[in-house]
Amino acid sequence: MKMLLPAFIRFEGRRIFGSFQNQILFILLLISSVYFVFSGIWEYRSMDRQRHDFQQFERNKIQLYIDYSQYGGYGFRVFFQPNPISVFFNNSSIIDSITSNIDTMEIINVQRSYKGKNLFSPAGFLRDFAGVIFYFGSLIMLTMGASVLVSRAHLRLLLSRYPFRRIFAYALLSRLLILNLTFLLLQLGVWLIPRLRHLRFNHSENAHFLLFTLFSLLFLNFFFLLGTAIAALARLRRPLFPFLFVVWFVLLFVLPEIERMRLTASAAAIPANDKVNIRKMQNMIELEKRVREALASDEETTAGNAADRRMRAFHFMSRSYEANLDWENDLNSRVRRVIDHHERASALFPTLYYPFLAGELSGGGYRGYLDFMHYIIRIQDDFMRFYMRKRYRSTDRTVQSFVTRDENIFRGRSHLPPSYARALGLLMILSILLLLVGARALAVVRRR
Amino acid sequence: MIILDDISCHWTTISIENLTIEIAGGQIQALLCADSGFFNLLMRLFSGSLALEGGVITIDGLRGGVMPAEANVACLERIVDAGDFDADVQVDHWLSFIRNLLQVPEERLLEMLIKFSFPREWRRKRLKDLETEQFRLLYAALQCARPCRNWIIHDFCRGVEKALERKINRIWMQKRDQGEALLYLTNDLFYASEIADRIGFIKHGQLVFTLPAEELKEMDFQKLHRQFLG
Repeated sequence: MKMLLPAFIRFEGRRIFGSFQNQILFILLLISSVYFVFSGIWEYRSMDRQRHDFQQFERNKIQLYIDYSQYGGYGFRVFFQPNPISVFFNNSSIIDSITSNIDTMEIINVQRSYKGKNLFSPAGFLRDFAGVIFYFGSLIMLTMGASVLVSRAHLRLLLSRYPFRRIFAYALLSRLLILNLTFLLLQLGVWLIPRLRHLRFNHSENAHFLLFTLFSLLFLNFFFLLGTAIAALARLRRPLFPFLFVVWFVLLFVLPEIERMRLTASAAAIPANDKVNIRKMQNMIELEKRVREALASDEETTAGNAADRRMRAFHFMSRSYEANLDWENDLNSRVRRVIDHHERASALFPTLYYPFLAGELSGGGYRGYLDFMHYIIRIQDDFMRFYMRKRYRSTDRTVQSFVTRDENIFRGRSHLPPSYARALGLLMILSILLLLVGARALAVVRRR
Repeated sequence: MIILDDISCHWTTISIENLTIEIAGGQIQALLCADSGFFNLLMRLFSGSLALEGGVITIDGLRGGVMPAEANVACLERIVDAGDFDADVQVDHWLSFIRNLLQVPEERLLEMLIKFSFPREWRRKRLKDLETEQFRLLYAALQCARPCRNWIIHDFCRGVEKALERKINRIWMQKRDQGEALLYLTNDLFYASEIADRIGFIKHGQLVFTLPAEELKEMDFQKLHRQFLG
């Protein structure tokens, strides 16, 4: 009896890895995983090189400005630099290869350049390691789960000596053990690749990758149990693959698309960027007009000296800037509400949450975007103060740069969404439900 | 020894009503019935997936309202094809797993493979590469090698080649001679008269009569067939 589980493990190992078809599948999985991690590393390094060029360009640009009003008008750009862990999720990011311009025009523009070689940079969730596990891994596990108990004849043969529960548990456990170990080794292997390429992760990034591994394994087990439940409900009839494929397609493509459409609809309530920007510009122009009028009347009445006039202008501009800042913060809080709602909805089903989690862990997800926006607003605030001080108070002969160190570089941080534990719990509950459905349906099959 | 004492049970529209039979060690008893649903129900009872509504099953002294889990009994159903299994494994690996599961001693299996003329080189093939008859040889050898004293067999030989059927029949005879009890469920009157010592006729879930196989040979087969199996 004790020898039964090892016998199951040996047999399942041979079934899984002895089949030529499965060998091809696992080799493809391995090759694509390694390829996408290398591609992620290459992309990360290329972004790092772009950062150097970017900083060099920004340094050179400052020397061309004649005065502070020109500097204020053109401003400087902030570069979004992904964090090293994004090598596994480089195409899961929502924001990728973006910059933002900081100037006194009060318009926060976040943009992605499609000029030159950027036009050809790949995009899409399928093109990173997380995507390989999501699409390829889930399909493999679905088919593996569907073939646990093979056929009624096989089930009858297995049940000729042992009770159903024991056979079902051993068959499931042995297969799950082998497949989980395989995927765990794969994840460990790909985690080592960046280290071998001298790319270091900090403790938090390592912990996030570990939590991603845990979620992805449970995600794969969910698909395995789904396959078993489908096969059991179909009473182990064959061929089952076309039906499995339809289920897989609906869960991985249709369901996320429906959520994306819902997200787009809920985001419609957020005012358009241009509307906010125009409102801010109007406010700015209005106040500037009033400043000029006030200064003109000062000159006419010859009240106050030049320094006083500059101070009054400074206060006017500051007030205008604070009003604009409030609008920008209001826009961000609306965006945050939509993101929070999207996160709550995604946590309900694993195929919605997996891409969300990958995006957040990449540092380029929704929280990464909010972080970036907060940074932009903060740095714009600092720049405005710098600009006001320099324009209205300073007597510099040459334009001094606001950027003294790396202020124009924003380093994306990997985020673990607060909904992680809830999504993990729901995933486990769904998996247990599938296990019960599968066991119950198979118990009926064996009686027929 | 297999004793069914006044057993009753039903599943959907099929029922067994007050069935009483006793198969002693060293005996092959055949039950003939036109309705294969009756046999499926009986197999479900013997495999322990269904409980009796009345009566008792006794196997070598072990009694119960359901099939006793510790009972030394093998339930054999019709020989299946390789396609019914996950055929992408080597025969040896498949055999080793199933042998382990059914607790068949290796020597006994090897002996049975020799008896069924299953060559050693075929064991290195993949299950899916075996031809239908080759797989049937293997399956029959594996099932017959099970270390059991009591056998419930449901149309095991249906559809197999005559040569394989003869080999299997010889094994049944050997088992009987070794004192094992065999209950054969079929609707083939000729096959039953060939292998069984006693034959029982079932109609509408009830045992109508039983008689020794020698007596059956003197009876009108056509009439019997019309009356009970038509």
